[in-house]
Amino acid sequence: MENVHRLQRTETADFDQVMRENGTKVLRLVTLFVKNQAVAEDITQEVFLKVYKNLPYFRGESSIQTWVYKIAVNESKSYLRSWSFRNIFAKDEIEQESGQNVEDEVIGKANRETVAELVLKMTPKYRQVIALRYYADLSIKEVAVALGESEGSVRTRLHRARAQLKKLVEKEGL
Amino acid sequence: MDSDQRFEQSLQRLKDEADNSVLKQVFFTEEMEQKIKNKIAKSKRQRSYWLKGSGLVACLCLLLVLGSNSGWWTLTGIDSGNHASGVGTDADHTGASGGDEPPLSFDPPVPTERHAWELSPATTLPSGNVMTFYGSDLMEVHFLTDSVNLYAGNDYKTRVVLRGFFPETLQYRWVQEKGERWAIDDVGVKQNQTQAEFNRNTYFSQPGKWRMEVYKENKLYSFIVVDVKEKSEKSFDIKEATVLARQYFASDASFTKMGQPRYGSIEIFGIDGTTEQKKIYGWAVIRSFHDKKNGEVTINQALDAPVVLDVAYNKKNYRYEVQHMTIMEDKNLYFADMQKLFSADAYMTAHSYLKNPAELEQMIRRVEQDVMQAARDQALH
Repeated sequence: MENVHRLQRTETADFDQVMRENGTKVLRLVTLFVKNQAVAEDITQEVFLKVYKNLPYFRGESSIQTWVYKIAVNESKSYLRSWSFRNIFAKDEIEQESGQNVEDEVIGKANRETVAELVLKMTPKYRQVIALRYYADLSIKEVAVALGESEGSVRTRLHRARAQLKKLVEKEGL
Repeated sequence: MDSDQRFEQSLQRLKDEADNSVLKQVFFTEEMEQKIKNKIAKSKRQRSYWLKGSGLVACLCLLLVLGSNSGWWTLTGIDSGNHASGVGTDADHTGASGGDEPPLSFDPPVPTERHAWELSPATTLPSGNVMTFYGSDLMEVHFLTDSVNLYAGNDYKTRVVLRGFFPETLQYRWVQEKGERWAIDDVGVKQNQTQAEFNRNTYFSQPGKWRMEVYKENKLYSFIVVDVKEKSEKSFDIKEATVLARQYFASDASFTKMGQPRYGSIEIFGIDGTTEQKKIYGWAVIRSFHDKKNGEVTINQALDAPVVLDVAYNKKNYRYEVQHMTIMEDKNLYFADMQKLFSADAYMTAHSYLKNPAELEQMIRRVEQDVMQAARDQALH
C-alpha cells in the first residue's frame, strides 16, 4: 500500500484499496474528534471524496495513512468550527454530560470510566492530539504533518493534553 | 507502580479500550463505501456534462463546499504592510526561514491540462473589512485581496499565504490564460511556525483567468487561479453589493445609536444604475449584540426595514462606496415609499414579500441567521 509509484498511477482500484484499508480507522478517529458517530460518518465520506480527488497528486512524502489523517483532521476542524457544531451538537454534548439520571450515576460509580471515555471528556484541541498520538499511534512528526503544525508546537500541545488527561485519570482512580 | 507509570499504561491501552468500548460499534460499512462511490460517479457524470456544455465553472461548487471554513483565514487581516507593484519590486519582509523544520507532505496540484485553469475556491468574509480569499483547506497557497471581486485595470492590496517552510525568498509570477505573463519575481517572505506570507499590490491588466504560480527552490510549489472581471454596469453583482452593505451597516455612524458590536445584512431586491453610480434596493436586517465569551451572543437592538443604498465608484481607491442610505421606517408607508423609491422590478419583489407576511418573516429570519453567524464568528476571534 505504501508503494508510491503504484499510487501515482492511481485508478479506481487504488482508491478502493485506500478506502478499505483506512475506512474504519478514519471513521473511528473522526468519531473521537467529533464525539458523534453520525457526524463522523458524514465527515468520513467527505474525507474519502477528497482522497479520491487528490490521490493522483499524492507524492508519497509521508505515508498514505498520515496523508489521509491530515485530510480527516482538516475536515473535523471545519466541522468543529461550523455553525451546526457550535449551535446544535456542542449544546447537546453539554446537556448529555450534565443530564445523567440516577440510574446512570449508580452504574457510573460501579463501573469506572475507561481511559477512552475520559479522552472524550477532553477539550477538542487536546482530544485531537491524544487521539492521533495514542489512538492512531502516529509519531510526533506524523502528528505534526496531520495537524499542519510544527513538531515543537505538537510537543507543547501534547504535553498539556497529557496533563489534562492525567488529572482526569487520577480523579477516576484508574 | 507510581501514578506516572500507571498513566503511561493507560495511554498504551487507549486504542484497545476505545475499540472495545466507545468505538465498538463504529465500522466503515460497505454501505458507506457505496455511498462514496455513488457520489464520485455522480460528480464524474456532472463533470462530463459541464465540460461538454458551458465549461469548468460548475465544478467549483464542490470545491467551494469542500474548501469553506479553512482555518488559516483567522490568522490575519490585510493590513497596511503592502508594498510594491507586482512586477519586479521588493515586498516588506523581516522574517526568517523555517530552519530544519520538515516540509509538509501534502503534494499540491501541478498545472496539468485538466486543472491548469480551474478557478480556485473563493470566499468573502461575511462582515467587517472586506477580505476575499482564494484557496481551500487542501491547497498550499492562498491569495487574499481586500476586494469582493477582481477587476482589470484596478490595483489591489493582496497577500499570499503559503503553508509550509520556505527559504527567505521564493519566486512567483502571474500568467494570463490568453498568454500574457509576468517575469518571475523574487520575493522575501515572512515565515512563522507553519506558513510563510508576503504582501503585494497586484494589478491585472486585462480580464480573464489569471494563474499565480509560486516557485520554491526553482520548482513549482503551487498555484491558484482567479477570475478577473471587466468592469461594466453588470459587474457590480449581488455578492459585491451584499458585502458592501454589510460593511456599511457595521461601520457607518448613522447606526451608532444601536450600539456595538453591530452587524447587518441585506436581502437584495434589485440593483441598477451606471458603472459609476449604483442603487441597491433591498431589505436591511441589522442587529447589535451583547457580546459574550466563547462566541455566544445575544441581540441588543434590532432594525428591519426596506432600504435604498446609493453607491458610487471611487476612482482613487478603486472601490464602490455607499454614499447615502434611505431607510423606510414607517411601516404604514412601506408600499407608498417603495413604489416611489424602488425600481419597478425591485418593487415587484418587495411587494410580493409584503403581501405575504409569512414569507417576509422567513426572509428576515434567514438574513438574521447570517448576521448572527457573523456576530458569533467575530466573538470567537
